[in-house]
Amino acid sequence: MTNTTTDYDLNNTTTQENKDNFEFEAILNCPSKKDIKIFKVVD
Amino acid sequence: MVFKNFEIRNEFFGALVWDFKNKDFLAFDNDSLKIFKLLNENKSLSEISSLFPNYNISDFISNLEKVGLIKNNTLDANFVNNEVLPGLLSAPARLHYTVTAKCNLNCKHCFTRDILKSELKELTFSEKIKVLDFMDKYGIREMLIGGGEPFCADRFLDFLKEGVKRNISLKVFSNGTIFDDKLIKEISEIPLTYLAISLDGSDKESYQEMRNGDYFDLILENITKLSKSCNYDIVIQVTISKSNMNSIDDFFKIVERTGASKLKLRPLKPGGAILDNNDLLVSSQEYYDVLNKAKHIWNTKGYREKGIKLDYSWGNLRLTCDQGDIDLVRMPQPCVGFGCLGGKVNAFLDAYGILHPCGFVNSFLETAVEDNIRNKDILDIWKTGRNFLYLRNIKGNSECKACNLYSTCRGGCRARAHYYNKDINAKDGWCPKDVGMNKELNR
Repeated sequence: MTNTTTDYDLNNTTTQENKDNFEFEAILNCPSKKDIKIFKVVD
Repeated sequence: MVFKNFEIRNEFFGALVWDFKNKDFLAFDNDSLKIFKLLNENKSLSEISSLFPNYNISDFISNLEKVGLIKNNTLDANFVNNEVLPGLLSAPARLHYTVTAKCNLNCKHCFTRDILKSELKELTFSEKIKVLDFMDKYGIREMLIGGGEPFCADRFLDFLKEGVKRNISLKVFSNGTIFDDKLIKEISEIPLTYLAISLDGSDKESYQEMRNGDYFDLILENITKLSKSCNYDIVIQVTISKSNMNSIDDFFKIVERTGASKLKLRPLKPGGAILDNNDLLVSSQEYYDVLNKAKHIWNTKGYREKGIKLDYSWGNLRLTCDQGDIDLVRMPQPCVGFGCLGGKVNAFLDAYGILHPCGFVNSFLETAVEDNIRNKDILDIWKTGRNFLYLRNIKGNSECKACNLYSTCRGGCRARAHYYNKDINAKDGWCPKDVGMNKELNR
């Protein structure tokens, strides 16, 4: 399948506020983390 | 397409992954997404490692195997063919749906009363199926279905079966009054994620006070039958109000007596009919005390050991259930901007086809009647719907933005901010810090 992903650059000045506000690392799994965590939304 | 156990949505932060088996989300960064794509192209471990020299790819693969994303050296996932939006999920992560306005009760706290009083026609069965098709196409894997009373909706069981066919996790919220043995048998054969029965009184009198109907004994009988028949969770859902806040012990006894699997506690929010009955609203401190009492009862009176589950939240935020006082679970949301998840992670479809960012939006915003899925593409409404844009562009306030809880709370519920502070930019009227919930972040 084709994908249309474009990378989201957190250092981009247009997204500076996002960078300030959003602690991605807390929920995002990444290759350097020890384990994989699930992400729960309140019902 | 061959079914696989996971589904990957391309998102601005990387990947939002749905686990079909456990019905959970996993969120990954952009490097993870790139690795998924390389795995999907059958690139070797050494090739991938050479592209990411800063990571131990073997360890990452091993972790992916543990959660099942990689099976037999192959990525067990399909990719959604979606457009990535800057700073916004490509589509809602979940859809709330009031499938019908029809209801046999007239509850004092019905939060959809103002949304569902329209003269518009409800979506037809084929229009409802189009919604399921849309969800299937764009990887929206959770639908929370209420009403009205959902079992009053035309061809409701057929609708649920169509949802199951599309691998959508279905969570149904009913008043529990209209079941008979035939319906109980039929619903037990449809694999819902759970069926929640609202029981906002612990005895006939308190039930009747909230829900204006003499159904208490009948509902308990129905819950008992459903619990025996269904292989999924039958949940007793209690919306905490002045009328029931002192009855938690009794609710646990009802859960045990009926064989229900879970007691779920949620706060009464200021929207819909409750605006005319606001004497039922509890304070944040009263609600917090109820939750701590519930946790204490659950832990000390044997309910936990018996396998009865307890589920509570701050409405929009998850709370701890471990030792000590209840506190916030530190978990930022996959969205940006000020305010709660409405219109950023969740969307709310009403019975007539109007897509709202939140079910409580009518308590502070005029309905965007033009944002009806009959006339507009659902994704277009998600991206540019009037009230969606409004909620995503709230300015907020400096107090919340400077708070150490901000990444978790983001200022909180806008309906409560508007109701208690008369200001859409204000902090949530139920600020978690007001009841002392701030320890989790400091551990």
